[in-house]
Amino acid sequence: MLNFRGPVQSWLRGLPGRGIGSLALMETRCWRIVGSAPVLNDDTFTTAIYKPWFGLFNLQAAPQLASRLLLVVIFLVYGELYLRSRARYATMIAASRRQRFQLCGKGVIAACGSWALVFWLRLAATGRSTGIAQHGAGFVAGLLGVFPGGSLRAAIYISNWAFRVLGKETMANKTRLFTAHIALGAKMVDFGGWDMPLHYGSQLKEHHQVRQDAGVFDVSHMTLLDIENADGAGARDFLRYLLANDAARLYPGKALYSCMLNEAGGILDDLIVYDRSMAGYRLVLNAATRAKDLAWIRKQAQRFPVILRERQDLAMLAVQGPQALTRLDAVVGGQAAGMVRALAPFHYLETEGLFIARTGYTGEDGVEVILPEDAVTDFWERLLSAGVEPCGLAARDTLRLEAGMNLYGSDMDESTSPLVSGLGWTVAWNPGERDFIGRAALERQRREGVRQTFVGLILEGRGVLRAHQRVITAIGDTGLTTSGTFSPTLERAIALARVPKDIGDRCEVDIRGRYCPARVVKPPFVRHGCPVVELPPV
Amino acid sequence: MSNLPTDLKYTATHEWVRINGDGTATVGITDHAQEQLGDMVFVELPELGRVLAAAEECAVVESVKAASDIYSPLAGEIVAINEALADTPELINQDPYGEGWLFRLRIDGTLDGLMDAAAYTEAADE
Repeated sequence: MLNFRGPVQSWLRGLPGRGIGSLALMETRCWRIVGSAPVLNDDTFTTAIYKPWFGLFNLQAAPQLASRLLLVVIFLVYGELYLRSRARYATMIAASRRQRFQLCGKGVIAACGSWALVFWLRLAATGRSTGIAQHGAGFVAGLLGVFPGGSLRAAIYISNWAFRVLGKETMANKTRLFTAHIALGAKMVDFGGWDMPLHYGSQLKEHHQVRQDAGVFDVSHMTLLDIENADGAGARDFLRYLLANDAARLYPGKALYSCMLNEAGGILDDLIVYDRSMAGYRLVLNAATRAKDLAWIRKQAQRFPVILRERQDLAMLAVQGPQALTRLDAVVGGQAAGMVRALAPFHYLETEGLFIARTGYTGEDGVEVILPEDAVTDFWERLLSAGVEPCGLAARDTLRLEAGMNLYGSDMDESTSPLVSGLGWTVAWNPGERDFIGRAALERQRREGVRQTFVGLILEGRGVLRAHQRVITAIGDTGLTTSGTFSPTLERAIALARVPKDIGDRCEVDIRGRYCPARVVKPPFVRHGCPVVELPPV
Repeated sequence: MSNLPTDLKYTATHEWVRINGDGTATVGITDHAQEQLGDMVFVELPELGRVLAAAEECAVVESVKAASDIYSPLAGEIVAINEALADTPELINQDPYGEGWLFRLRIDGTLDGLMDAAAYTEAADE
């Protein structure tokens, strides 16, 4: 669309340090290439136009953005015509003797101005709420870039940062089932940059459906990463270094839950890794941490002969509940159904293009199915026909909390180690000679003594526990809830909390200034449809 | 926009008010509000006899998803609370303008600042 040969380009090329010019050219070039830029994890202006239109949510935004782009085109074309009208071309002079086109006066100002305009327009597509910050960032970026001797690197950094914030704001990703969710009347919500179904009417009904029968969650937003051997054996060694749990515990067909730590022993993400024999390993990571995870894994993988392959071509469904396997029979059919039934927990199989794992995030029996995006709509519809009800992220959260499973970003993050997050059991200390990232820090923590512990709380009486409520203990020190909710199965408020060690079995939680008594229990709260903790009276 | 009876008054914070004609007013939350909050699981109501200023924080409704403060639409004294909500908070979801009412107060002051259905629709759409 924008491809200039002429004074504008020459101008840009001749700018101080050439940096600004080439950057601006990169901009225009990126606008043309819709295809390659997303691979570089940086959405382009043209996809920004396309997405609001395709999403059906925002029919106004697309033409607005498109017209802005056209404005720039018109501006540049006129600039080009104006300059060419004065140009003199002397084709007979030998190339070596051609006069260099010197930038001066109005030229510099115009070129810098147009470049700043490009920035501004790019940032103007940001949506209202963060608009000011991004305009500000664009302005600073513009200044840094235009100012002779200014830091080009800083300009690029600020620009990209602003654009990424923008990307989160206006360009939510959609799974292949997006239109199916809308058709089912789902209330959609942004989750880690993805438009996901929160519920399809009632999150309580969906919760009970999974505890009593079977429900299906679209979890295609999760990050799927295949780690393949480049030389036949590198992937295993790499994972033994990358993960706190030991990939040597795996064998073909087995799954393993693990934390991925930073050097300080903080949790970068939690994940499930599947052993695919000669094909390598498959990792399922969180959606909200995708960019951070991939960057980290790529960096760590440099020393290992492995090939990293993100599988954006795959979708993922979680079919969960006591009847999940029975209902799945009708969908996968025949021999495969028998094989799925025979799967032990935390094992998987691959058959007829389906990757079926007996794993989940609800505390119920069930499977997680990874399959090609092109096949997911059909599979989803067959599940619904078989009596599996669609369930949203809201029910997924109450189910996992009842099951005592941590949520990354709430119950743990980079500032907390597995040892204070109830995940000490996932750290494979033996063999002692295995060096994994974060090991030294964890050993130091253990040596110095871990003073906090991760517990479950059940509120006595009425009310609802939430994240970030203060836990008051008999020993004086306070703790903090990390997630909390009303448990539909127990009909009590429950929470996960990080508290000082040895607080006993009672505490109080500060709910809006009221100190409410609660019991301290060991999670999970619910397993296979039944309470596994003693319930206090309401 | 969801169900919105025209005989009620509304606030920007999604409470509805029914003027009962005997000097009292009944207060609840709108259909739009209950829809946004989702399944109700807990309601904290003011004590009987408490005297409220207009726009004073006086109750909390909690859904599975979130807790939400309720502001008194009018100045007045609490003369009744909906005891049924203690055991069946889902009444707010099922019948927000009827069985799901929150409290009744004796009006002490003016009705200034309350909106009609049309104005509320406009405000809630923003």
